[in-house]
Amino acid sequence: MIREETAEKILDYILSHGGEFGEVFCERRLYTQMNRIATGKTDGKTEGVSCGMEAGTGVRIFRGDACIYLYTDGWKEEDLFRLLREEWGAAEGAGDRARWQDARVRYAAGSCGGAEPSLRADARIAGAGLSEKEALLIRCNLAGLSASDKIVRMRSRYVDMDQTVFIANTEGCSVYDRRQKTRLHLTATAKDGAEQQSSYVGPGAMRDFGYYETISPEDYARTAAEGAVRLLGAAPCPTGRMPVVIANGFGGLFFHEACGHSLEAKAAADGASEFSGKLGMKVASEKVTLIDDGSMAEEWGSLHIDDEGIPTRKNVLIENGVLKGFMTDRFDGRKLGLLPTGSARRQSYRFAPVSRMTNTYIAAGSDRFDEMIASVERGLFVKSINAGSVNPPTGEFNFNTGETFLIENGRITKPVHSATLIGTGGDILKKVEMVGDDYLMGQGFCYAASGAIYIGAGQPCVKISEMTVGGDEA
Amino acid sequence: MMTEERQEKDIRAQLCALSAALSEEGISGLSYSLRHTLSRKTGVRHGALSQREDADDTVLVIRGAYAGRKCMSAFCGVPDAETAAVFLKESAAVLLAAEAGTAEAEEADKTAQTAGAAFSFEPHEAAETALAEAEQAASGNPALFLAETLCYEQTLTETRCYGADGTLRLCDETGYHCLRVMVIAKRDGQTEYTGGCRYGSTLSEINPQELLTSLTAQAAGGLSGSSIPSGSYRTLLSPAVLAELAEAFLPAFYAENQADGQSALFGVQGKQVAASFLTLREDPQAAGGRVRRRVDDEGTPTSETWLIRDGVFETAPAKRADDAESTGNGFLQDPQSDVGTGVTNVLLTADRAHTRTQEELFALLGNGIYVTAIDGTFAGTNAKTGSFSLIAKGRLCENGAVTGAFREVTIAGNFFEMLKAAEAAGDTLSATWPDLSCVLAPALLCGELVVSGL
Repeated sequence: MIREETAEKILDYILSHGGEFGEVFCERRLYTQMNRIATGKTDGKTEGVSCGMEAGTGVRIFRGDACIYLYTDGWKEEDLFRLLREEWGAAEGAGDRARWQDARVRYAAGSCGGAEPSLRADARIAGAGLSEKEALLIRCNLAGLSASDKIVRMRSRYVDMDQTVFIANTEGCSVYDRRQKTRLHLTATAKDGAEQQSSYVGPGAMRDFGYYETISPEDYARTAAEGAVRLLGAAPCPTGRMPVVIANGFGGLFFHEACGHSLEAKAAADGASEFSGKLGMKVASEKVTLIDDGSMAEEWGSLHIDDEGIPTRKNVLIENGVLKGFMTDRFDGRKLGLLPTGSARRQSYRFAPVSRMTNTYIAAGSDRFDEMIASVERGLFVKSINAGSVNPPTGEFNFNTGETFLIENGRITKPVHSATLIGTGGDILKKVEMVGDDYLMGQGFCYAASGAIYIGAGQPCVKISEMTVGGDEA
Repeated sequence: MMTEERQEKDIRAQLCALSAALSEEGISGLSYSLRHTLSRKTGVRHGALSQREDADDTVLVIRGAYAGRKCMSAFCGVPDAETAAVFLKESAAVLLAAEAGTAEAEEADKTAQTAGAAFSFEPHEAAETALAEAEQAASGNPALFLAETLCYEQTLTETRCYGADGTLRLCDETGYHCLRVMVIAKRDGQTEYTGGCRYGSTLSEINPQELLTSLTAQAAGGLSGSSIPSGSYRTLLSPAVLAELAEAFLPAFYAENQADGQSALFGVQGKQVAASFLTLREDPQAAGGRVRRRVDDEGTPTSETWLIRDGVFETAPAKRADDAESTGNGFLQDPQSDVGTGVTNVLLTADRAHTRTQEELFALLGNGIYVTAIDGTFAGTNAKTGSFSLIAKGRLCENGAVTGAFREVTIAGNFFEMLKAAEAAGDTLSATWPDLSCVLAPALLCGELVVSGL
């Protein structure tokens, strides 16, 4: 990793050349990606294998309203200073040397958090070799294929990482952190005649490979398979506006899109979010309490510290319908006049950090799932969500459903094709009519300004009184 | 270009030394693919610099054979021998048996050349000035609330393939200049958000002022929009929308998905899949395209191919590992991934007889909708079936004239049925964002789509 002395030199250089804040982010990340596809009754073939090591350094500088970011692979002092000198047209002087002297005292006093980890090369990333990971995928594929004779294809994907970061800044932060993540993404394809349907599940955790001893990967594969089979023969999905009940777990992606991104400081700064200027105001039904918590033990979206070196924590964003806060980072937090909330994240050293979600969820309520269904005359039950997106300035969001069922006269009657559900966050939040007592957390990825990051999205079952459904019923 | 003579010698020396050390570990048949990226971003907000980014980044992929099996691993820069050996040996446990001649195609042309003019970076200061001027000009529209993204991106990626002895086998280079714009318009409590991107050789060629001003006008025009009744509507897709849709359905053409039956075009190669006046052509050196590649990331030469010619599905893009002859379409999607099927520049065009001006297209549309933006292609499109269901916005048309705006609806249909039902296309092409594939497409009058709204 970068030598602490090199980081100090860089920060000193930044402040002595007109920078108001400087930060060094150095990472070494070992990773594995592997796919295994099986068709028929064989265990298939492994493809898309990728394993290796990413290592690089990013230097961030604030000056006025500008954020300057420089990055390179590795952490050689000469490479970093070449970038600084060639690419940053900085003025001499004007740095806050007094503040930096205070910070350096804290630095020297051993305020460095975390211990510099051993960086000995070890290809047993996240505690397991590639053979073990391949064996896991084989187990999943066999379990999925065996779940039903209608399953014609299983695609099991394994990803993990073992990331070590070092973060230092001109405010005295100097900290190491280690993050291990592992996740499966299991897609089952069922076929009946000419019709094919797919369903997926994606369990993951902030853990090493031992995670898979605490769950049953085969059960997850079977869940994906059973979901695909249920979709066969699904009817066209109705279109128009209707009530929607969204299942617990990764159904929480609904809120991730509907309001989560709009509550990130990057969106809210400069008044560019539909929630800008609404702190303390009622923005949702009082049934809604929305939380983002990066400190949840072993959850897929968790971190010990964020990518600015600030400890993660539970951030209550909306409480009983009232907007309580935004997720903020140092840069956009300055524009909002808000302190950072441990929400700064980035895919890798190739990205400057930006306030993003970690594990975002709706707190459990007291309504029951059967009551929600019974309350709907005609609407949809969304058992799973694939993905979605949002435009924070307008709040217009969309998400695509996975397993979807029609509700008629208070009962779930039949599966329908997946649909796109749309709305605007500010409007939909007020239409949250019921919140269940069966909270669950799901896992996924989010793609935005600072790259692809791992996130958790969770909720109990939720009923929305009305949403626009883009089905395929003529 | 990054690689000056001294740096080139250093790299070769490092690779030679690495090869020697790995050979002692029993790893043979080594080849190296080094991808070096220089990039620069300049962003402006409120007339001043908001973002400035510079990068110098190298990824090295090492391939070889160990204990009779393939091995492969990726690193940032040249790793130490111990680390490289550990990962390469581990990868051999799950990769296939090594075959003779699996190294990248030997090619005698070691000269780094770009098609057209050599790539040059424009200074941050010049970009900052031009973008600030563009923002100033656009602010003349009172509806403009914020140019939320006004960012000039410049990226140059050089790929070099070396043998075990450090001999340079292949060299390729691609770069682009792109202005990325997102604007927020507000009026009377309404907010509209729209964006676009434009490529060119220089910022002045891109003309930031014109792009920002036109996008602001487009956003302002959408402010009065609201949802519309559900039903089927005659539809004209804007060039940006068609390009985004076509990009989402490219995997349906790929050989790997054909072989697996995971494509809406499974079993129809050689058959009509679009109106006979439509062509979908890949051109690795296309003018207006973002990509310039002479070889793919497996070393196979790229070439001009026709995915659709006169409406017929002709060529399925393939990489080496597919059950088909490689068409030079094996590309790394990101530094961590293995080679997958990808494309260079793909252009969807119509023959002259079916190409119309924008005014003519509106006249042909008559009563219907003009879709100016969509979102949700990541999950709302299905290349296995061709179906899509996406949030959309745009303009209402009556008797060929724009009468209002709409938003917060979904449009649904089948992409390939839509191509078959196409009636005419526009005379200008728009390109997709620089984040994924490069697809250029015109506006398309495409029959009816199902709208879900009120």
